[in-house]
Amino acid sequence: MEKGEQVALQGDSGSGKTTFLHLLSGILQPDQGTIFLNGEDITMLGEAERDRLRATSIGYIFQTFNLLQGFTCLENVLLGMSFGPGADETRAKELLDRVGLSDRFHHHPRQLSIGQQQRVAVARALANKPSLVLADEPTGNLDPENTHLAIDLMRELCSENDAGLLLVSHDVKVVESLPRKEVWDDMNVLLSKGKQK
Amino acid sequence: MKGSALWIAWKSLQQHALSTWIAAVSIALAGGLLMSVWTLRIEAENTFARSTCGFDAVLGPRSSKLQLVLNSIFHLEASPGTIPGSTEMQLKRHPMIRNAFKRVIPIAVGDNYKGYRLVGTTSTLFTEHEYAEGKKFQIAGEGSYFSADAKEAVAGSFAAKKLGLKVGDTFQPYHGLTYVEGTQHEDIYTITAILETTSTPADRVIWIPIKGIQTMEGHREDLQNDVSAYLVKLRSKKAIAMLDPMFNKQGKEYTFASIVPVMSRFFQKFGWFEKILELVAYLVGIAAAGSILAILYNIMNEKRREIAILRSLGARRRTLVSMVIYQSTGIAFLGVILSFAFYIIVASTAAQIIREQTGVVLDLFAFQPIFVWVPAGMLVLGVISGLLPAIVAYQTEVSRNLAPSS
Repeated sequence: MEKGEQVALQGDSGSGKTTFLHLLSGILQPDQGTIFLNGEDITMLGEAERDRLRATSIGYIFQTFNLLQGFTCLENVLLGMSFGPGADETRAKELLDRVGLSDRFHHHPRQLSIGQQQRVAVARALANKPSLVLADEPTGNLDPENTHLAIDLMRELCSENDAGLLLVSHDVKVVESLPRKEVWDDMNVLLSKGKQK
Repeated sequence: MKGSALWIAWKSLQQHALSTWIAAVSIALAGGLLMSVWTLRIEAENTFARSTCGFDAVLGPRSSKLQLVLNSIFHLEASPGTIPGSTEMQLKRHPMIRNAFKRVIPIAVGDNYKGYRLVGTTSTLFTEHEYAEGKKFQIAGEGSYFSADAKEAVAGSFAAKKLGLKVGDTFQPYHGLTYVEGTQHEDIYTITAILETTSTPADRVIWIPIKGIQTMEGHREDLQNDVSAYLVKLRSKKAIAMLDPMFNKQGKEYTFASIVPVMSRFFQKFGWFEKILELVAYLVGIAAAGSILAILYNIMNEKRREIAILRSLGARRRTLVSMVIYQSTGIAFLGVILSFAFYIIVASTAAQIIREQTGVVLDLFAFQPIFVWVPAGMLVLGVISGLLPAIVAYQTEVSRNLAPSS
């Protein structure tokens, strides 16, 4: 992926898409191979350095949003920057404002609709000014109309923040809404592609 | 502060407010109980040893020393009997005793007014005796001490307050040391003075002339010259070593009880009870630590997914460990604050009961080392009880606990 590029990765359930994202984010360490992010082989990093990498350079959007229920929308977004650049309430409010939730700062996730929760997750993913946003089936819980809106929002926000977007989904429509798509049936296919390159 | 491990810990405690309060209250019970038991023991022992009303010893009929002291000084327990009123003259004839005794004040008991003891004595108690170093009894407001032959009474401050007595009021004493309705004597006494508070057992007493008790209507005429005991002020406490064997071993008529050693032995008898209370407090403390551990451990297990989310956002393992330790320490800290509140409630209640029963006022706010080491111990316990849950947080596997794989 080039810097700021937006790529969709399509694959069936169980084909290893989430595992692949975990490898890219440094949550999992591969047995072999290399993963370069911003020119650095992250497989050579220790655990603390990979934590730091996630805190500063990677944003994560999950299918179930993974918002912390005990925290308000604003606090959830603040958590997205807490371990990296540090909590910046102004930026957090700007992001929530940008995703249309300026009147929901102090609401808890359970008080929001699914679509609104998804937007909080998007705001949180961009809170630490990442160079890459990983979105794991981010529209899996949304209806078609909200899916379309969510994809547009993610793409716009990533562009505005100079962040690349790697979105994995099994939904063909979602995948086709991004400028570049990769299809795989099995992780091994991708790995073999990588080796050929 | 927002975004720090401390902030996340605080939010988590808020989220589990009920569990947090339960654990904190358990700690408070343990800490408060320990501080109460310790302080009450120390303060009671010290204060009772000081509350001798300025006397060094009691001379009374053959009986147990403890009963004699409790009855004569603390106005508790039944009277062990009487001794002839001529005893004082006999004693003064003995040169060694005459030299050893600085002052001897007779008392006679046997009646009460609505549960508050009437103690017959001489006005020397008020005019010459010091109930504490440099302190004599003082009349509160207007009034005068009783005349030896009159039916007059001087009320201690606590008794007067509880009975609503004021100067000029009259009352009819009841027979015996405990209040039983229908046992009233015919004699009518008039209050001539209310005493200033002394924070000694004397505050609970209504003092009347000794002749009043001796000649009270209905009392035995053959005992009209007897006294219940003599309160003794010595010239030097060294004389106790000489007087104790003289009265208690060589003589058979009297008991000579030195107040401070008797009270020390009395408190030593309660040692086993204090030990049990302390043991209970320690057990409650251990149970409280266990509850913190269980609560946090359960929270950590429930929150594995949240921990994984925080890790996916870049939280380091040690950040999460700090977060858990902050939580356990926070619960312990809350417990410490509550333990002082609990201590104040328990100790104040106990002190009030002691005051009502004995007139002795305990100083519960005097500094005791336990006020430092119990809170410190509870905080250490809090940190320790957070270790296992912290290990759970540390070991949480991110990948396995995040969203289900696609």
